[in-house]
Order: sequence, then C-alpha cells, then structure tokens
Amino acid sequence: MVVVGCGKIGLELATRLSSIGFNVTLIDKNPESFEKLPEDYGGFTVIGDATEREILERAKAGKADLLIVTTEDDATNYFVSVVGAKIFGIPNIISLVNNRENIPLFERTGIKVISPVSLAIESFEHSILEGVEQVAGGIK
Amino acid sequence: MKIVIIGGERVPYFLAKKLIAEGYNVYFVNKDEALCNEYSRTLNAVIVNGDGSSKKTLDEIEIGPDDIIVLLTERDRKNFFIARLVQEYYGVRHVVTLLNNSENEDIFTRFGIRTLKVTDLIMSNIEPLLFENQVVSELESETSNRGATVVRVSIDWGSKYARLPISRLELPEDVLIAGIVRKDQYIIPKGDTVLEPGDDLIVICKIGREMEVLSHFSE
Repeated sequence: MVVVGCGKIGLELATRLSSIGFNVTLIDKNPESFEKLPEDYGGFTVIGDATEREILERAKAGKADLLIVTTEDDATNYFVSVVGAKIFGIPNIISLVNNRENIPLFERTGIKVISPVSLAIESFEHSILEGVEQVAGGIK
Repeated sequence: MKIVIIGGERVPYFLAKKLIAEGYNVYFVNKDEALCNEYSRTLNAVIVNGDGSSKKTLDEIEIGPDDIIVLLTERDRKNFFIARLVQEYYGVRHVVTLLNNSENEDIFTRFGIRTLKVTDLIMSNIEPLLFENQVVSELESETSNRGATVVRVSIDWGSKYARLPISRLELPEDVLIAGIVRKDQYIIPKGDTVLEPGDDLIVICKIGREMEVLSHFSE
C-alpha cells in the first residue's frame, strides 16, 4: 500500500495499517512530518512530491494494490489519484476530498472518496435519528 | 462561444488583447485581486476575481461545451484539475493548458487536453547554445596550454563572407574554423560549406592572434 501525505490522517492511517501487518510506504514532501511517526512504525517512508513520477516509482507504486491519498489539497489528491490509476495501474484508489463540492469529479473518475465533512454529517444524522427512534420507542 | 483564460500573469493580458481585437468574447479568471483590478481597467474582457479551481467561481461564468478554456496556472496538478472540472461539469471539448513538467504530458493527452510544453520549448531553444558552450569550453581546455585559443565570430548580414564557401575565405595562417553554429544545428565545416548570415563561427588560432582573426572577419 502506498499512502500519500503524512498529515494527521495519513500518519495515523499508515501507522495502523502497518501495525496490522500491511506493507506500507508513506510519502510526504516534508521530512519533518515523519518525525511524528511512532518509533515502532514498521513501514517505509519516501521524502518527495508525489505528483512527480520519480517519487511514486521510488515508493514502488507500480506494485501497489492500494493507493491512499490524504493531502489537504484536492487538486493534488486528484492528480496523484489519476496518475496512480492510469499510469501506475494501481487497481484501488481511495482519496481524501477536502472540499465536498469536488466529490462528484473524483467519483466520476472512478476514485473512491473519503470526505470528512460528509462523514461527520452522516454520523450526526445517524446518531440523531437513533435518538429519535429511542424517544419514539419510549413514547410507545 | 467565449474564451476563458484562467491563471497566469502577463501572458493572459497580451493573449486577451489579441483575441479581443479579433472579435472574441474573452473572460479572465484570476485569484490575484490587484491584477484583476488592473485588467478590469485596461482590458475589454469580463474579469472574474476568484479561484479557478472552485466550481462556484466557474459556475458564475456559465461555461458551455463550445467555449475554449485556456489554463495558465503554474501548477500542472491545478491545470489538470480545472481541465477535468470543465470537461465533466460543462462538457467542454477544447481545453488548452500550459504544461510545466513534460513527463505529465501522457496524463493530459489521455483526457484529451491539449498541452503547451513550455519547458521543452525553452530547452529546444537553448540546447544548441549549451552545446556551443560545451564545445568551446572543451576546445579551450584542450588548446590553451598548447599555444592556441578559441575565438567566436558572428557573420552578420553585411559581412562580405556571408554566402561564401569556407575554401574562399582566405584565412590567415594557423587559423581553423572548428564549427559553425546555425540556428539549432552545429555544423562541422568542410571546404565547400557555405556561410550564411547569422552563423556563429568557432575559430581556433594561435594565442596572440585573436585580434587579427576578428579584424579579418570584420573587414
């Protein structure tokens, strides 16, 4: 697996996936961002800009089964996702989409989307409706 | 049909001016407020101050399938993102973009986006100059401690040697033309090679005779 972006999400995700036993390579252009990785992180790290082919090659993207893109810039996420799919032939792509209005573009290109805002709204809705059901159940 | 130019600084100004003169409807989208203010005074175009990679900004312009989109931001990823946005949301068929990193050409082509390979363009223009420099510096290092030196001579339009073959130049003793730089070519001259105006000659001569060579060619 290749994880692009060592921010809050990328860092935590790479750490967890690696501890479960997956072979993880984490890419970030800022070497300092790797300092926050736990000492027992067992994956690889690559310093560089993932929009450059050379960096994805160094992360062995051509052999990856899954590409996870987590930077805070949607244009970067989209570009890396498309290059990963079309040029490196990675079969599964999941990308963070920061701005909700960009979700359709990612989905139409065949990229699986994780949108923090949508997830939050859905979770809120879910727990509110659950609460309503309980209240309704109590009234009966 | 309108032409929408997104990003860039001075290039869009001159591009817009030309297009407006030819009667086209030009829109200019840029994040830079000061630039937008300037262009709104100097250009007869619709100026939109906003982020071209945001669908909200693009919606304002009411882009249609027949419009031509020109992308001039400094980032390939951004140009790619906007290109794909206008293709998917407005069905735009013609997108032209500045391409900074030539290795990205394949991904743009795959989605039918035309590219202007600016880096390649600059490289192909300076490559002959780089080659010329390399030849001269190698010649200089080979000849300098052996009593010879390298001189560069330009053949201009008024030169009496323009359009003459090398064999008829009547060069002084111990002078050799080692190469001719002509546009993007490096020519290894023979006696029947004809000089052209604009040629740069790389000449080897004995140290101390450089002035003699230069004055020979400037006669």
